Amino acid sequence: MIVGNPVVTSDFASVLELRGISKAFGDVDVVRDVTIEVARGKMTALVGPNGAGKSTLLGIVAGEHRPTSGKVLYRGQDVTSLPAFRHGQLGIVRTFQLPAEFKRLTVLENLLVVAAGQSGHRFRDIFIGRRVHWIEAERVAVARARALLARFGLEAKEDQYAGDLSGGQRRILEVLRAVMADPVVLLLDEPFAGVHPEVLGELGGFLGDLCAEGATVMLIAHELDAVERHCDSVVVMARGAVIFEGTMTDARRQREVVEAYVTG
Amino acid sequence: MSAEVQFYLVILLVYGCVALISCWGLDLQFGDTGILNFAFIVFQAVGAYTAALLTLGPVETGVFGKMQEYFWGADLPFPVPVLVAAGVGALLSVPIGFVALRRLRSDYQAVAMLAVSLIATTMMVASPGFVGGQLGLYAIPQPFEDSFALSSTEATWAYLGFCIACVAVVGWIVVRISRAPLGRTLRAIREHPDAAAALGINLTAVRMGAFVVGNALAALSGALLIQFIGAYSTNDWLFPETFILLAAVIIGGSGNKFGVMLGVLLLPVGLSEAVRYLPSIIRPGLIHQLQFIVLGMMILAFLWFRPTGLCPERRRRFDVDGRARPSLAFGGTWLGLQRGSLKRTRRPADASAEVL
Repeated sequence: MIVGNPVVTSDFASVLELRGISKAFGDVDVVRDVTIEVARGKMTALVGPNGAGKSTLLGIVAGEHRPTSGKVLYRGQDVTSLPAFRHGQLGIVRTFQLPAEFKRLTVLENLLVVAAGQSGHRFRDIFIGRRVHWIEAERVAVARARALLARFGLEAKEDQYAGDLSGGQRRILEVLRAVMADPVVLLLDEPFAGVHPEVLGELGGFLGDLCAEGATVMLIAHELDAVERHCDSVVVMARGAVIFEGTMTDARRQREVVEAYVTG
Repeated sequence: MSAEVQFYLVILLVYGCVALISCWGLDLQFGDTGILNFAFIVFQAVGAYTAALLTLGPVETGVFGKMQEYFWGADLPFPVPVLVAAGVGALLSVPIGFVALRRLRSDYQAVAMLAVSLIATTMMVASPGFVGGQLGLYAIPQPFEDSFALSSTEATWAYLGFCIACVAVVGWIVVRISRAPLGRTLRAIREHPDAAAALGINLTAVRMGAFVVGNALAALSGALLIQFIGAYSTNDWLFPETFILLAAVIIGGSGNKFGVMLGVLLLPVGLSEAVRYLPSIIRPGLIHQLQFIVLGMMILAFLWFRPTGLCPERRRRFDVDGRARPSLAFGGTWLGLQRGSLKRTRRPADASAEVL
């Protein structure tokens, strides 16, 4: 089992629903009237040329940006106006387009920052909590983190500073760190970028296992072969709007999709 | 040992305790959490004035009018004024933190704090009836001498004992925070606030916690200082004073409690004492001013050549069974020192410019 606490299943078929999302920065419309549903327990890829508005849309789902109009529904609840940390607490956890590891924390510590089930991370725990409780919870979290690192051959690097890892390893570390938080929805911004092809297959399989355990994955990717191999469905965006929803195989046959990639 | 030497030694040690408590508070904010609090000295002043007001008693009027001006006073037994002072420092942190920490980015937080420091000093100077204005407060009774009827020498030694006890308690708190999962949360916020928020960490709440605890320690140190020296004015807490404490943290090693102790020995205690015995050159007071130039150059040199300080923040490792590897004290493998930590700076790539 990858996820520490099994993901709470929802009565809703789509765990995430975006209704008429638009976002403008000044006069520039970055996202235009996007309406999509993300199925529970599935891996959905968000693809499209650079500047299509994918990362902004992901930021809106994660609570980093407020949309100009539209709603984000998470398990039927409107979370549009909640701050980013509340999204994280509710189980919508994201990674970033540029590596966002905690550089001066070790690889293992990166995974322990928000490991589910930990105590001793609030100020009141320091003054009234018992140290033995958080030590025990930490031991459980360390064992889980080591198992995750071992799956990607990073176990020997657990004491290295995260800032010393290669670009691809940082990507993996970020994904694993998000997984340690027991996410219900995992939002990954270009998780395959810079990852070695062999490890990329392992990462795709790992994300598939996560979905099998009930988590939902929404990722941005430019590696279309990997998307075809690992993702259940694909949403293609161009110039801020959704131009196609379906499977990657079908997307390749769509003239509009091909043109969007060629012309931007 | 002559009485003079004893007295000098006690003064040095009490100053050291005061500086250490405040630097540990500053390190919790800056070293661990990444909050650049240029108003830190204001909270030390809050503690000092609060303790003074709670010790001086009601305003006395002599034949020539008021002995000194302050708006209100009480005569509480020691150590109540010291403890209340720490609480007032913590309370006052909440509204300031609410404004500065909630929406502002870290560099703008620093500017906001500097503004708070300048406003506070100006307001105090402009309101002599509040806590004495530029003249400040004086003739604050020595706690042990008056309360426990000890001789002057005995009282100063007793006071030193109390300060050391405070250092022990504060040391326990800061080391406990550093070793707990909370310490990791603080450092994660320092390293990448957006990523920490994305993982579900409430940045404002956690930063506020570090801000409040750090400022409570500043206020405690101010209270300890004023109870010892018996006088305090706006000249004692001008904004450059924050830089002396910050320099101790940076040079000692931010994030390493033992390193901070070393920084305190070198700067607030060592440097100021060393220049005290230098002969006056060119004009009186020049040596004192040169102190700040030396301090500034030391900060620049360390930020350039050794940004992690003399004792870098220790790397947390875990045993095979998942327990954090024991460290003897102050968050290090041996008194905060790691193998080779004094020989070279070990830091991850691209982190050199992120100390400030």
